[in-house]
Amino acid sequence: MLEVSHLTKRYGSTTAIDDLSFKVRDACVTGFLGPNGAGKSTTMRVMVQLDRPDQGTATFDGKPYRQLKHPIREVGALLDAGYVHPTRTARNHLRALALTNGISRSRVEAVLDLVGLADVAGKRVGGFSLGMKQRLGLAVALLGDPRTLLFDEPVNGLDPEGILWVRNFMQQLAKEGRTVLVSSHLLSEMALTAQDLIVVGKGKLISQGTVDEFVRSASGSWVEVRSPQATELAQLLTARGAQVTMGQMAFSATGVESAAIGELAAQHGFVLHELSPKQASLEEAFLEVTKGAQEYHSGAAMPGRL
Amino acid sequence: MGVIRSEWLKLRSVRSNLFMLASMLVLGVGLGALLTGVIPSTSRRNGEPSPLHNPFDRVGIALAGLNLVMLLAGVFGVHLVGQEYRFSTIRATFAAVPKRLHVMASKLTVLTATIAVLGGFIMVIAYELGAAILSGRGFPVDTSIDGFGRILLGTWLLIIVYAIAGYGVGMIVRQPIGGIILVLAFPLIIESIIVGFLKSSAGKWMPYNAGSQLLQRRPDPDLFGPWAGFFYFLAFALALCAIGAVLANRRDA
Repeated sequence: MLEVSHLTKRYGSTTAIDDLSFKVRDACVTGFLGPNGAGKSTTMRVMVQLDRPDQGTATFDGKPYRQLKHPIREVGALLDAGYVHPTRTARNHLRALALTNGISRSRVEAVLDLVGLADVAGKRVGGFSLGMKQRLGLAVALLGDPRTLLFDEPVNGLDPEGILWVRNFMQQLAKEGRTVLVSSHLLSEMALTAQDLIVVGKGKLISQGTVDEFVRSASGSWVEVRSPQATELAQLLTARGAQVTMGQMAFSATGVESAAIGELAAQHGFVLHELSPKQASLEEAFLEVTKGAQEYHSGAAMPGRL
Repeated sequence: MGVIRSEWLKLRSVRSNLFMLASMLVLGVGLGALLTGVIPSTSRRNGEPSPLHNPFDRVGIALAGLNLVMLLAGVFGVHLVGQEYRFSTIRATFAAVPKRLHVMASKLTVLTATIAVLGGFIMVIAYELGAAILSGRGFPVDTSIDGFGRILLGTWLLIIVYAIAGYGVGMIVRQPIGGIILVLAFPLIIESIIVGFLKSSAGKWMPYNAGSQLLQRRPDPDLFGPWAGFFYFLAFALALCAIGAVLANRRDA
């Protein structure tokens, strides 16, 4: 199990991670979610000891990364596909890393095959497309056949085919019983891949749980109503304790079931043009929870509701 | 052992490294051949006799190209570690081997061994060619003169220590260009400027100057002796590596 405990990391006067604690379940994909600048990448770099934390620990089955005898045989990380020398070949890049952890040459060939780079293994990495570099990064992460995998924004810059490939790959890895932590600022992406979610903002933990729990707790539901007598109907609902947001001959209501609205309208002989119960989308839920925790505000209004 | 083999593979598998090592060979041998071929045998205008008439100076002339090899070895030392930072491959390396001192020591071992072998090879070729050219011009090198062995051995050792010092600088500045400028400017310019501004007695403590005493014909009483100077220079180079390694261990990669 991967456990982060009271992690704090400052760069000068900026606090990138602020007393962050969470646990990642084994054998599933956990989404590590937050707006840009939330401290996701920093957390991952600290996990593999590239950055030194000011406080706190990150441990893999109780052991800090530094104490692992062959770290990349236990934890594979794809933090940035750009950690390659442009004039070194893909094969040599992998071999050099394999040698440090006592990994065989045949395993190097196996991962090259696995990520579909076998044909270009002898080519210099400088000529690779972003997608190919990303595959090479994935090959590095998988090189030691590790039980835990860390991916930082793995689909960034990939074409749709590449995104689908990475998505299936992560699910496959979890099915094999591996622990996968994958960061993203796109909730929709995580909804397709992850079972659990860890949400962070401004370096702090915002929520942790399953994807379903997250959506339910964050958003709740509301009802959209369109009617020529919208104003009158809204008044009746407000009197019964519902919260109403008015629009043009329409409103959205929370705290009341759609059936109750329909019955109320029938009693008073109001005409309804629309009566639809709504569930907040993942994106809305995400924006709702990370409100105030975003490094950069766009200033735009919340999408979705009337 | 795995980390050393990894560093050796990394050194071999990058084009610029091979290019720099090849240029050490070509420039070192070429410059030596050129100088031994063109240095005039007639007296200079001020009446001083040509160094070719001095058997001791002939040894130095035959080895002239090796001064450039020393500087290039320093540049290579910077480059070997600087490129890892420039392309961020140091992060891939440190993620695979979080014990960073282990990485830095392995890289130093590989660098030292490579430069020792290649530097020795270049020196032998450059010397043999230079001596042959001088001999052809009627000024054979007298290998029996006092200090001949010291100068030959010293040239080889200095090539290695220049590389080690360069490596230390590379670890500290973490980028190739600035580091290369430093290791070129320090022995060529900065030491003279410091000596010029301070008293000339500061020259004794200038590391590159101290190291070069190993190649002098007669020890200067104001400076370190040949071996004392060399070990002072070696200690300086190792101290740079120690500082660099401690910084690499402490800083975020």
